[in-house]
Amino acid sequence: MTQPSHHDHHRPSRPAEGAPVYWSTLEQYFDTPAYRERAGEEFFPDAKPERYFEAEDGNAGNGSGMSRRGFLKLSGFAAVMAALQGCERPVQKIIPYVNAPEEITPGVQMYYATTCMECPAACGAISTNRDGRPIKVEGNAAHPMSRGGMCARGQATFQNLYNPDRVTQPYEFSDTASNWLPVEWDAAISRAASQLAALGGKKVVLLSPTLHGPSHRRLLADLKRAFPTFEHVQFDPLQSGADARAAESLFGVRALPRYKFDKARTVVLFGGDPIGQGASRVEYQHDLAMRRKPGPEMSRLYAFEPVPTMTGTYSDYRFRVAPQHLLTVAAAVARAAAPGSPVASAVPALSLEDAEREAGIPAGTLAKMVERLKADAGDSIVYCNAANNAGPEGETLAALCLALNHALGNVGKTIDLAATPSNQALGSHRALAGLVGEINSGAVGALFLLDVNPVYQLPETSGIAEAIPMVPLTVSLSRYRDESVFYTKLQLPGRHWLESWGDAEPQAGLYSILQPMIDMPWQCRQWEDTLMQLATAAGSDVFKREIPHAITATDEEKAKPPAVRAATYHEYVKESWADLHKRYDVEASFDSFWESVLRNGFFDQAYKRRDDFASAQPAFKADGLRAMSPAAFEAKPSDLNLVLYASNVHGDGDSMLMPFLLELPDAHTKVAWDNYIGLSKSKADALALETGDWAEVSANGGSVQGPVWIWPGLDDRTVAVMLGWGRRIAAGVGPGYGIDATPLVKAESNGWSYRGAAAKVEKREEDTSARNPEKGVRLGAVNLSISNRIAGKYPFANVQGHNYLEGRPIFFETTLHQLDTPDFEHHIYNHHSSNAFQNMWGKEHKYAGHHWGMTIDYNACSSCGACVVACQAENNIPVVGKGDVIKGREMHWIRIDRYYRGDVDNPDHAFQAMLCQHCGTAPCETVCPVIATLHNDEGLNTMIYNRCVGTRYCSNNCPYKVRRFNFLLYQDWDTPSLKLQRNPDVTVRSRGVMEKCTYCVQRINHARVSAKLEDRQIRDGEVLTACQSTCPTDAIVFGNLNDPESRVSKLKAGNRNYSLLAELNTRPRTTYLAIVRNPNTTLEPAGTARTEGEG
Amino acid sequence: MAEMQHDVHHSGGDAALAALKARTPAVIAPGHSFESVTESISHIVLAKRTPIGWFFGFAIAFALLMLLNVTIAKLLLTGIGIWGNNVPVGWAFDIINFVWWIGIGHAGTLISAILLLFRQQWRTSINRFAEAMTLFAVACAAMFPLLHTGRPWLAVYWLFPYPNSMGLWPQFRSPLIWDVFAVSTYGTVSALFWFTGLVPDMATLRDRAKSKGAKIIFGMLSLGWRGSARHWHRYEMAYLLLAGISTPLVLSVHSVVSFDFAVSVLPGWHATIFPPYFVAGAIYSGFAMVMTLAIPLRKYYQLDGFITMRHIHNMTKVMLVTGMIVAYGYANEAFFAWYAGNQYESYMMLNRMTGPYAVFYWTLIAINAGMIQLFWFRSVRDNIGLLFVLSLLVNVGMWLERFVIIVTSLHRDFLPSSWDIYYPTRWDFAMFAGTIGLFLSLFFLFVRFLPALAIFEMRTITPEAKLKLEHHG
Repeated sequence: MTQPSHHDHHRPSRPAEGAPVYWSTLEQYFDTPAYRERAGEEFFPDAKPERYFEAEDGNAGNGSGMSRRGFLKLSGFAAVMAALQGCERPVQKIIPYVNAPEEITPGVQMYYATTCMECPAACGAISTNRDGRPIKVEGNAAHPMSRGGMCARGQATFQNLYNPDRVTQPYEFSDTASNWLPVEWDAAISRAASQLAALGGKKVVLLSPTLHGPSHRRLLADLKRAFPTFEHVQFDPLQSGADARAAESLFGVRALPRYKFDKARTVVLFGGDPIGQGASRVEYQHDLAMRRKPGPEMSRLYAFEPVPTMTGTYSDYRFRVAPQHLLTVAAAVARAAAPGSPVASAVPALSLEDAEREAGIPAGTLAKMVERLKADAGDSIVYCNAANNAGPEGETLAALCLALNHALGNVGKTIDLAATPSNQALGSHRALAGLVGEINSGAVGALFLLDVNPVYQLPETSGIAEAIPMVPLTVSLSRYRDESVFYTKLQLPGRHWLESWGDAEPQAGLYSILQPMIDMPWQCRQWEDTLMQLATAAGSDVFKREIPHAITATDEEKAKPPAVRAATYHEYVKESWADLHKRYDVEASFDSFWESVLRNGFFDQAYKRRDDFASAQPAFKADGLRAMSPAAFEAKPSDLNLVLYASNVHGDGDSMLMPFLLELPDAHTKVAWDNYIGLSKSKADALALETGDWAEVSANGGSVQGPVWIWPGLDDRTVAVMLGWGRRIAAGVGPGYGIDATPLVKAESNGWSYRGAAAKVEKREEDTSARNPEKGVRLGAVNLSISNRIAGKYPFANVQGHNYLEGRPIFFETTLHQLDTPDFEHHIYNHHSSNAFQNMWGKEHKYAGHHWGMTIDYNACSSCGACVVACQAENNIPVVGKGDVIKGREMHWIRIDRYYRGDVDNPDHAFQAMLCQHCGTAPCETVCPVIATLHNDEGLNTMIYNRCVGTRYCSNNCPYKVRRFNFLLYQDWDTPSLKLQRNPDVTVRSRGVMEKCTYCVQRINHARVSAKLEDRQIRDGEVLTACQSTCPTDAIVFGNLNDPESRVSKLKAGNRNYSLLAELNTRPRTTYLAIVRNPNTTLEPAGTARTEGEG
Repeated sequence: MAEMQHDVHHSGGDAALAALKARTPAVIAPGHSFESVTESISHIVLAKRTPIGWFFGFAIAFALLMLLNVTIAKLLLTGIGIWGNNVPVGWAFDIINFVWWIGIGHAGTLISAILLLFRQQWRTSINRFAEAMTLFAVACAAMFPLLHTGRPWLAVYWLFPYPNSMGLWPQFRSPLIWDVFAVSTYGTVSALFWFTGLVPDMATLRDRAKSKGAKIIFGMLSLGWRGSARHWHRYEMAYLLLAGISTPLVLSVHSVVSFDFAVSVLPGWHATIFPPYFVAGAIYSGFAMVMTLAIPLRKYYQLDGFITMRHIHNMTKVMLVTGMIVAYGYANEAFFAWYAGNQYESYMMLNRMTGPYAVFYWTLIAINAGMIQLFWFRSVRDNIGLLFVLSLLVNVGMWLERFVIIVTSLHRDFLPSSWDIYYPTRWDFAMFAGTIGLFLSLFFLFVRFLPALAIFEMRTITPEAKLKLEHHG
């Protein structure tokens, strides 16, 4: 390159050899003289405005080249252009909704019945749709299982549906590129189909959790016809299958018992947690709560458990026992409660006193319990948790409890095995173990993974990770990239259940339908369609449907055989229901039957048998008791025993994709965003460990490092770790949170057991560089770095730093026999109700029209957290991320406070749902300088978000601390799919704004509109707040206080009603119904003696 | 000013009085004349050369001021989540700093207005820079009510009652609105008072200035002051009226600030003693700040002839009195926590004394109740170096008092479930340091470009003035 000479400086210098040369005009390219003349000028001569004006005007005498007229023209032009700038930019083209679906009215909610498939429990659900997109799901009130309730997982399901991290098109692993490459559906199907066609007798295996819909059954049978070597392996990681095996050996039916807790006056739990981990949680939760209404029929619950469970802490009596002692106590109880029965003679001779002594239970307790159990024979349930223990102990415990139930006469009365047994968890570990063996022997030619993630869910020793790649054709039908997907070669992404057709039969005879609510603009197909298309492409006729000739077809065309295609799953489901229609001889025509099913969401063929099933029970086979392992009874607890447990929220780890659930604090420890190595205080002291210390727990030949949490209520000989955490790959959110406990899982002959003896916990030095990577939480959260608040300790996102009531009159309880005494009434009325305090304004303010209020019944609340998530989903509440939870900035409008009482190792638990109390004389209102929070004329304490400037004074002055502040921009404003998730009736708050519970004012307004249209009053129960609506136990009641006949007015008039912090004279409209415990009046062991009041 | 000069006139008297006078340092060092007073004060402003030390100090202050700018920019862009505030601790450094600065401002007004009305002529030497200090402290304080909000761009005008088509008014029942009125009134009156007092001195500077620029600027600022009798008459009247207006403000502003807390339901805030206790605390911390500023000022500008030990002693005594009132407030709070028998109140007190922030509580008790007892001793009052340290400690103590009141009350209130802990972040400290930077920057500029002491008032306390008065009388 030569230096450009000075006289040549207008000309662009020639670039270096080989450098890319850009040019704009031909003149420049050829470097013509004309170009060179102009090159240095900014404007080409004819583009100069003054020249234009000169030419027209002729006499530009002022020397500037600008005439007066030209100036005016130019400024006029500028003014017009400036005005045009006011038009919206960029221009948005609107496509008018010309062919709008007939039923959709913009802004009006539509409700569709469907079935929640977040877990195989398959509760009936109602999806609320707005403008063609589902924004909320709720329990189907008519459905016999859900009865309007829904769990936290169901409520968070939208974060699965609208998750921006979903895989939105098929991917194939390319060996050449050693990477996943996108592939078209047709190509993927045809390639996989040709591989399937060439399997040559090897097995085609579908590995999935329990599938129980009629269409699924038919599909599996049809797949077997399409591929004679087809096999379906059901695997529910947390269901070892022990319960079903016990039913098989004792009754000859392979079924999961269906428990009727509403019929049980006495319930004894041996490590069982029907609310938290049962197969049909929402149903059990509801039923259990129904029997907790104060009165002679109120149930009494006894729990024996190593780890605090939701049902355990809900019980009247809770005893901490080592895991091995569950069998000891159960055996002694069986002998005493059913003397002479087969089960009593099949268990070792153990007296109640021996069991009490051995297990550390206060003396005399068991005898009293047995007395009650005997009295309530036929009205009781003995429930155990064998589901996550595939070892001999689990199998033995399952058999023992079922046999004891039989001996007590409960089978047929409170337990149903045959009339309408549960299908909700029929998977077994055994089958999967068998599958690994088959793969290793080379018998499997194709493996489809559906909604299972065995590489994460099982320990390395299972060999599944090595086995999967040995299969020639491996297809993942998962919606996400998870750990197992990376061992397959092809991912054909499935759909969310809100995008799918389908059906379910969670309990025999209860048929439930799924209908799609939305078609996300992604290339996902529901797995049933994928498999039917694959089978058809592989040459099978099973799913073939003819495409009829068009009406306009010529005769010549009509003569040809019609084209074929695979059936759509919609057609397939409809056909299955036509079968049902025929099989059950339904009177109505199929069309009206189908329509009614779509409208109701289910078809309960078994409704007559649901409550009256005594006659249908199979005969008891005492021989089956031989399945009990004598060695299991011999097992003695070691110094420290491992229990891996699953929570009702996190299950086996799917929750890691749903930030709502990650941020939902654990019911007992109130820790969010983490699991931990749980130890009791005494044990931790003995091991010189503190909360936040880093430790290694080893058992069953594996070891795991993690932070320690001192957990009151945990058995002293137990170390507990929650399952479902520590995902390595879980889309954008989950990885890096918590610790993966699967290395501690023990392989057993029947599968895997989540127990272990001789566990060790040792302090370790934490490698803090490997600490939570704080990955971007995309689902509506902003991250800040986690500051380690206490030097050297692991930072936990614990939302409740203080666990004790400090003797404050916050939580009230009484016992059944004290409830109706005048003393109790007097105490509540005079000290803890607003009535007791004078109103300084003389008389109460009268609200014309409606006056809304709420009660929350402690007796019903089991602390499941569904309300918290429901409120988040309904009210567009953001997730703030672990860092901000640590800082104390969680946004939940409703929270569940958990208080302990008594001994640090063995405390009583109290749960209190806290939300805005909508005070009559609200301290927040008078201190807001801009009137952003004030009363409306229906008694609601409202927030005007766009008026709020964020002084936070209202929060400071709120005695209940239920106000939440957007310290940062927590909402995700950008991700398109997340916008669909939001409720359009609720403002999406920005940063700097205070927010809080509104009693779901948008729902009140909807009810008001519909009442007005029908020219009537809002009916009692017409307005259900989101928390109330989802609450499986009906603990929350909302309504009009001006109507003395409303449910809420009646509850408030009851003697259990009290106002929290009534002495501050805030006159809350949310009041609480004191908890009533039901202890044995002659038996009040230490720590369980419950008296009225805490104060 | 004639009234004040009578004090000087009464200088005869009996022997006891004479002995007392001998022990009490004069309010102005002997040997000063009109000319020497005028020269030594105006020299600071009119000198061509700025002392190198000034640049050094100003550089530090200005760097902190830039830190404030960065912090505010970050705050506006990100949100107040950059601070450590949370729920339940909705207010922390933001309001602590607000109350602290506004409290510091009080000494200026007290000196200018109340001491003027009480004819305390010793105020003359310190009133000018104390007023400036007030103004700058109010500037620092006024920033926080705005910036502590989540959306200051709205708060900036929604907090003021302005007529609008929506018929929306602020919540007049909210103490925060009272704050807005109190602080804006206070700021306005302080500025007027300060400027009015400056006018005759501006004229002096105008007359003495050598450079054209200074002549023009001081000429404009002196508002055409010619020193005529009518000017003096009107000036005196205006000054007196402003003093009358300011006097209730001394009491009202911090009372209103204390209502931010007293009006709430929170244990630890909900206390009737707050208004007097806050006012005393404000004067206490304000005098400490005056002392903190006066000691270096008199040293580096050789003003110890004007700010004499008499002033130092008097300020120390005011601090002793107000400090004791504050200490009484602490005792009173503790007493009522016990006597009221309210478990939330008693827990609050217990938590202050033994909770996670107990160290701050005991530090503040040690300073505000313990350390100030040193002020009883004349040897301490004479020890300038020690007094400087002690005055700084008083400000630390008063800052901690606000920390204890705000944070420890909030972090554990009624429901134990919502109890949490508060940790400041580096942005909290940056904001605090930044306001100190703003304050000091303004003060450095003030010392350099305006007369830090009231020249004409200082002239009135020289012996010359006395002579003239006697001559005329």
